[in-house]
Amino acid sequence: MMKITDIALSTFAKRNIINREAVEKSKYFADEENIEKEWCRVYQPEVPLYNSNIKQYTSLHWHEDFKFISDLILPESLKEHVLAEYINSTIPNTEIRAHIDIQREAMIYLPIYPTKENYMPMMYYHNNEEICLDNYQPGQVYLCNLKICHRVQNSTDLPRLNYQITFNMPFEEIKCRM
Amino acid sequence: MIPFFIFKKLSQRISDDEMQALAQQCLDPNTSWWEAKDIKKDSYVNYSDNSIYYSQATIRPDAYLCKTPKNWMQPPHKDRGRDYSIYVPIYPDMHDYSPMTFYHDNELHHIDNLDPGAMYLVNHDVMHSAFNFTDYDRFNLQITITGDISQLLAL
Repeated sequence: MMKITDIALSTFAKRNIINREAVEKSKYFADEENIEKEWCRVYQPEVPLYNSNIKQYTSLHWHEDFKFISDLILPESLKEHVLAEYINSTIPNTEIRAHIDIQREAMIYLPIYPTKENYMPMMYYHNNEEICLDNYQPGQVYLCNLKICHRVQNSTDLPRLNYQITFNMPFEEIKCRM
Repeated sequence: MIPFFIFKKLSQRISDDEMQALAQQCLDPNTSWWEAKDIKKDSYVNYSDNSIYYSQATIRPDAYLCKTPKNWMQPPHKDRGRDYSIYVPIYPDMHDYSPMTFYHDNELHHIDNLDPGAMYLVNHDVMHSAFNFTDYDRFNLQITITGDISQLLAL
């Protein structure tokens, strides 16, 4: 986890951003010279719900040096179903409003940085309950259903970094193959 | 048996004059606001919530004004001390009012203030939140309902 954290923080510091094709296919790699583009703000809503003063976006980062992460955490049986993989960063004082992913079904999710109470959890809303996916167990990998309403609010002074491996199959099918 | 609902917009409305008086009271620097823990009526608030302030509405003695300062929030929760209330967004209006958001059956439902004066019957057992990430303090009026709501549902 220390190596993953170092590489994630280093990447975030350089702000190298995944390119558009890589969002759809992981074989395309980010150019280190890429600057942050509007389309990297993957969850920025086109029509704001209200006149909010909090930023609404998250950005994606990829470099081939990250490949060892998926080699560590991705089951062989799922490799052919990967749609994309990247470090997801949510900068301080940014919110990803409650939503259901439109283009993604499920992902393998590794919270990286920060840890424990400084990592703002992914909050799920299901059956009238709030379910909290935090980083109190660094190194723990989760399979997440992105068709369940969820949100993130990074109300800290630290960037919030995690690794996401997105699949083109529904959560239940992925679960069966694990 | 009361049919399930998240919230219901009532046919009754707060008049423009009352809305103006309520907004004036909300924005009056002399209005005193209580913290949730100071509220004496057990049925009224979620005591764990320290991000909201209350004041008695002068023109509606059965109601409380609620204030969520700018950049404060009530994270998603279910009220433990009450089931239903009548809820009236007051200030700001239109798109400057951060909506009350309900999380039900994998969908979001919002009470906004695009129709100032509208009254809503709200089910507080459905998970809900308010994130006032705006440049304004946020005010609404709430009347806790403790008895039979069937008549209100008929409105």
